[in-house]
Amino acid sequence: MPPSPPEPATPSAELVGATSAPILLGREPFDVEFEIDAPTGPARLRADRSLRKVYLHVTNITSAEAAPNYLVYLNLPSGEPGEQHPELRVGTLAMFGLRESSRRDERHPGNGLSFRFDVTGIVLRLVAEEHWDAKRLRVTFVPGAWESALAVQVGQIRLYFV
Amino acid sequence: MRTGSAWARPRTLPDYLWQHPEWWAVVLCASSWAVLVGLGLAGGPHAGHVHAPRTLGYGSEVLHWSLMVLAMMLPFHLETIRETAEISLWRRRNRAIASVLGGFAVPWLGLGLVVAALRSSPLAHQREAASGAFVLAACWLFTRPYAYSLAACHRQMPLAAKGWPAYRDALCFGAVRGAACVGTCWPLMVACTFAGHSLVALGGGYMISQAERGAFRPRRRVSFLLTLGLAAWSLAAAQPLPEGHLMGATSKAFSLSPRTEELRIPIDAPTPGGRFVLRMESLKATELPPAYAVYLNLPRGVNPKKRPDLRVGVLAMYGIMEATAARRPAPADGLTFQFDVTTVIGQLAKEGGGPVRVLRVAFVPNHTKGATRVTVGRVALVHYRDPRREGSPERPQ
Repeated sequence: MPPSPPEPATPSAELVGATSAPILLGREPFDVEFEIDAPTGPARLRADRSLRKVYLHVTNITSAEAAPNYLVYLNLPSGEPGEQHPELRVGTLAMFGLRESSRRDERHPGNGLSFRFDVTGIVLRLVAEEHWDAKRLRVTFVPGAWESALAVQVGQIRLYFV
Repeated sequence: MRTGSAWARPRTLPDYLWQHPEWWAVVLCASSWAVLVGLGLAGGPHAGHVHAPRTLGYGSEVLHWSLMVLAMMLPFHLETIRETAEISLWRRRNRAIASVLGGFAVPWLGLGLVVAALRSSPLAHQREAASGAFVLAACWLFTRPYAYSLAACHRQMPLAAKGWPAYRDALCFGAVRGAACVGTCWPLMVACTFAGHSLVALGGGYMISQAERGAFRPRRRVSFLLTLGLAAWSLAAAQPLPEGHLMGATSKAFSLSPRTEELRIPIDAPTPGGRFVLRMESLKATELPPAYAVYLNLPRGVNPKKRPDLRVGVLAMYGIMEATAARRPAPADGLTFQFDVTTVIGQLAKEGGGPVRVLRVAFVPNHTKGATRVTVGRVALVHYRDPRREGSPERPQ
């Protein structure tokens, strides 16, 4: 049996952009934009200069009340409904357990819910269609149907290159 | 975050450092432990002077407190540091880590200033104070504030990516984690300080904290019992010394220069049994002198390094300037060291074919730079018959 090739180094993720303040989501779709920088660390220094993966993190989602699920889109054209661009849909923020995870008590720090999405395919598509802006990213949150008032706070959105 | 499909060993040093941005905090922590252990083993001011009558200066107390916090608390926040690095832009991850550590230090330093002030009181040097603080630490484990603080040690905070908000957020994040850390461990750290930063107290305190922080479901009753064990130890380890018989002593004060010096002390014929303790009292200096290795009856012309069997200890001068300066309520009585020389006395008697009648005490400096002189109030050999004396550590008072 031939010797196995050397193990690859563990890929290090590099943050390239993040929102600077918490975001408050309600019953209407909500857009948020933030700057992204060119990678300066391991993502830039990779020998083959290829982009392995891109991840979107939506972290520390908290609310005192229950909330509907939210659909998340990347660079959704402004004014257009999300249903027309399923190819730009990143995923769903499933809010099951939102209230419980937001509570600070003797057993829980109240960090809320956090999600991580692999958005490599969407980014490659946007690049191919020349809709990718290397300096800014827009993330759209579209809530499901809900009757009462909503106050869902998203702590931060972060974009990682791996 | 180590995102990716492959978990594999890093191939190169940069790979390793990239994946472990906390490496320099680990170095900081290890250095603090090295200093604390070195001071403990060398019989420095940290060597367990639980009920020493002399107190260190306020600045030294704060410095010792800071070392203890770095050594004992930083290991529990390596994950905080990794987390900070992962949610910061690559080019500013070290700055973010430094800011978080700065924020983390603020609550601990605040408590340290208070504890250092308490240590200026002789009451804080009593064995009962250390023991009582350990009992308080044991009871604290079952309180609601402790549980809240323990949960808050895992509280997350988003950090702005750039500019001054990034520094502000990192400082706040560190301060939040630091405050939670103070909330969980303050009685234990106060107890360790009251126990004179003894290595037993530090090691035991660290293990208890590790058991509480590291376990998914901490076994609180075990931690409680271990902490009570430390309380019992601090009482037992600080038993008042029994009265000893003075075998011989210098008649007046003398001074040491940064050269090898020797003095002769006629002593009574040692009686077998018991322990022999060499005391060097009231060492004073206004500038930092070299450390001195102390040898007994070193043969003339012999390089001291070739007779390590005759070395009884090292006079580590750390804190001597503070101990020399009068500062209320601490009197300016300098440092006092005592070494158990029973083995060496026995060896000398064996080599000489009879009991030792004259003790030649050689002081060998670790360097000969400068002209700082150390005044030594008295050197005395004391014989203790009480077997409890055997467990007494070599320590300055």
